[in-house]
Amino acid sequence: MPTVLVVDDTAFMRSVIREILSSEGFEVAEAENGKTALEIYKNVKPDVVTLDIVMPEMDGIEVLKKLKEIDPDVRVIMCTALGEEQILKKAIKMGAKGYVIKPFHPDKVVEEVKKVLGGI
Amino acid sequence: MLKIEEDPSAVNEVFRLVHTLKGMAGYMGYQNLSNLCHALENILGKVRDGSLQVGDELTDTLLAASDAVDGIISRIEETGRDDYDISSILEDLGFAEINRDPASEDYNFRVDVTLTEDCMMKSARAALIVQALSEVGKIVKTDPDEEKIDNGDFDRDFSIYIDSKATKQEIEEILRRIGEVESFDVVVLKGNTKPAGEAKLERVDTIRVTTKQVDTIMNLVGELVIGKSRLLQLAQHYNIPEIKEAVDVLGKSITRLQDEVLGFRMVKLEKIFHKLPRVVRDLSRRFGKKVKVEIRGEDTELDRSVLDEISEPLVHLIRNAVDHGVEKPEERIRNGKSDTGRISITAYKERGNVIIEIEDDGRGVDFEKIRRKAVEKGLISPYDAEKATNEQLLNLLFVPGFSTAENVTDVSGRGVGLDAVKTVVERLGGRVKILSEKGKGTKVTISLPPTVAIIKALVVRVGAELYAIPLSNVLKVVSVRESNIETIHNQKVLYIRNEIIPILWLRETFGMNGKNKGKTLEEVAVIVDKEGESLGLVVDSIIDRQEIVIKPPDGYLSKIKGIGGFTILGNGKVVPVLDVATLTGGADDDAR
Repeated sequence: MPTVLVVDDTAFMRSVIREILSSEGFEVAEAENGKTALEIYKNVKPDVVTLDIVMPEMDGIEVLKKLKEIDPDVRVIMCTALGEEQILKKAIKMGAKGYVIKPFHPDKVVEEVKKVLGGI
Repeated sequence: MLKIEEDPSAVNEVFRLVHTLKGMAGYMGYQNLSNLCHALENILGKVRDGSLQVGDELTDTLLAASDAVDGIISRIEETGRDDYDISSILEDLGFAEINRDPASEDYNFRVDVTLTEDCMMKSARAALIVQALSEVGKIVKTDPDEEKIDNGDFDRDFSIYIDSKATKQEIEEILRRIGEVESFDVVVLKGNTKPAGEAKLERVDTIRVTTKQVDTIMNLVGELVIGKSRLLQLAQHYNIPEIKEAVDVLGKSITRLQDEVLGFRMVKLEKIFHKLPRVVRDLSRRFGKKVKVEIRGEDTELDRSVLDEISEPLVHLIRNAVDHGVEKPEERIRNGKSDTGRISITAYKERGNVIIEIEDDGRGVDFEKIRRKAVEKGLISPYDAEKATNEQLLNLLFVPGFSTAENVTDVSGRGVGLDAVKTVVERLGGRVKILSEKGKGTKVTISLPPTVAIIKALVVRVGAELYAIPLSNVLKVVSVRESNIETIHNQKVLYIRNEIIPILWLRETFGMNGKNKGKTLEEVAVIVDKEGESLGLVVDSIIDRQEIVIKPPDGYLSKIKGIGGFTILGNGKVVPVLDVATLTGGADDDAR
C-alpha cells in the first residue's frame, strides 16, 4: 500500500488525516514540522506528502521548496483553509500536485490522494 | 433554439447538440466553428444555470449564432474550409476575444474542463490544472481569460488552449490525476498532431450518395419498368404464358426496387417545417405582431426534389399569413380576438397525395378589394366583377401581377406572391386552393404528388396518336354524347348532371385532320382540374392507366404548349405527356 507522510503542526489535524487514510488502507507517517518532514522523506520515501501551509518556523511553502530539491517528482498535497487561496496558488506554481481544504471532508481527502497517486 | 423561449428546459438539449458539434468541429480542425460553438455553449450554460435570462434580445443573438453555424457548415460543404466571419456574432455572444487573429495563435489542443459542483476554491483547482498542463506544453490562452480564472470568476467550465507535443492520451492522463474534475474533454485541434493509436475504425452503417446518383438509379428503374412492359406485351402478342409468368415475378421485384429507390428520395417535411417557426418569429417581430405557430404532420414524407421546390413557396405563404393575414394585436383585440394570432401548418397524406395546409386566423381576404383591384387592372369587366363568386375572386389572386396589399413591404406584396406559388405547385403536378372568410382567416391548401419521377397517368388515344394525362390532374372520365354538348359564348360546354364544363377536342388542339363528328361510337371526355376549374378534354378512347416515367422535353419540343414531357411506353412508342396547366392557351384559340 502506498505510504502517505502527513505534515502538520497540530496533533489533532494529523490524527484526523491518519484516520481517514488508514481506514482506506494507506500507510501513514507523521511529521510535526518541516525539519522532521524532510528527514522522514529522505528515509521513508513516502509516495505522497500532505503538507499544511501554515506552520511555525518553516511554513508549507518553504517545506515544499526543500522537498522539491530532494525529489523533483515529489507528490505534495497542500492542506489549506479558505482565505489562503493566494498562497495556495503559489504552492501550485511551485509544483504542488493537489490540495485539500480544512475542515477535511474524508471523501475529498481520499479522492485527492488517490488522484495524485494515479496508477500507484 | 426557439423552443428555449417557451420551454427553458429545452436548453439542455440544445446545449448537448452544440457541445457535440463543438467536439466534432474541433476534431476535424474547424477552428472557427469550434470557437463559435464554444461561445454558444458558454451562453447556453449560463441560461441553463439561470444566471442569464432568456429574452427577445438573447434569442435574437442565439438565432444569429445558429445562422452562423449553418453558414459555416455550408461553407465547409462547399469549400472544405470554415473561413466564415463570425467576429460580430462572437462579440454579441460576449466572446470577442476568441477570434482575435486566430492565425497568430498556435495551439493544437483545447482542454475543456468541468469542475465538480462541490469544488471549493475553483480558482486554485483551475490553477492546478493549468500548472499541470504547462508541464507538458505551452499554455496559449484560457477561456475565460487567466485573470477571470484567477479570480474564480467563472462557472464550473473553462477551457485551456495549449501547444503541446504530448499525445491526447498523455494529456488525458494528466487530467485524470487531478481531483474535483467532474469531466474533461481533450480536443485535438490540428490534423497534423494526430496521436498514434488514435486511428480507431468505427463501423459505418450509412453512406453518402449524391441526389444525382439516386436520380440515375431512378432513371434506370424507369427504363426497367419500360422494358418490363415491352416483355409483357411480347408475351401477350405471341401468347407465351411462361414468359408472362416470369415477367410478373420480375415486375414484383421492379416494383419493390422502385419503391426502395423512391424511399431514398423521401424526406420528412420536418426538414423545411422546422425553419418556419423562425420565419414567423422574425416576421412577427418586424411587423409588431404576435403570432403562435402550430405545426402538425412534420413526419409526412415528400420527394426530395419536390421538397426543395416547395420550400420557397411555403415560406412565401407563411409570409403572406403574417404580413397580410394576422392583424396587429390592437386590431385583433378590437375585433374581439385574442391578441396573439395563430398560424397552423399541417401536412398529411390523402389518397396518395401530400396535402399541406397553411391556415391563419387573421383578417381574411377582402373580397370587395379584390373586385376593385381586378377591375382596375382590367382583369375582368365591372359587370363580371359584380357577378363573381367569392371562389372566383379568390382565383384572381393567382393571376400574375395581382396583389391587393396596400403598401408594398419587402416581405410580401410585390405581386409575385401567389401566382409564383401556383406556378411551382402546378409544375410539380400539384394544386393550390385558397379559402378565406373576411375577419376569420385564410387557408391555403397545397396538394402535391409525393414524387415527380414516376407518375400515374391515363394513356388516351386521339386519332392515331396516344397521349398521357397525369392522373393527378384528372377529376373524372365521362362519356360524351352529341346531346350533352351546348355552345355558350362561343365555347363548347358539356352538361353533366348539374355541371357545365367547358370542353375542348384534343384533336383540334393538336391540329389533327378529320373531325371525329360522332362517326365513332362515342367519345370520352377526361375532366381535368385546371386552375381550380373543370375542363373537359375530349379524346377518342382511354387505352390504359399506368405508371409512366416522364422525360422532360428539350430543345424545340419544350416550346410546344400543352406538352409537359414525354414518356416511352412498353411497346417503345414515344408518347407526349399533357401539361394541363399550359394546355388552355391552345384551347381558347380552338374554342369556336
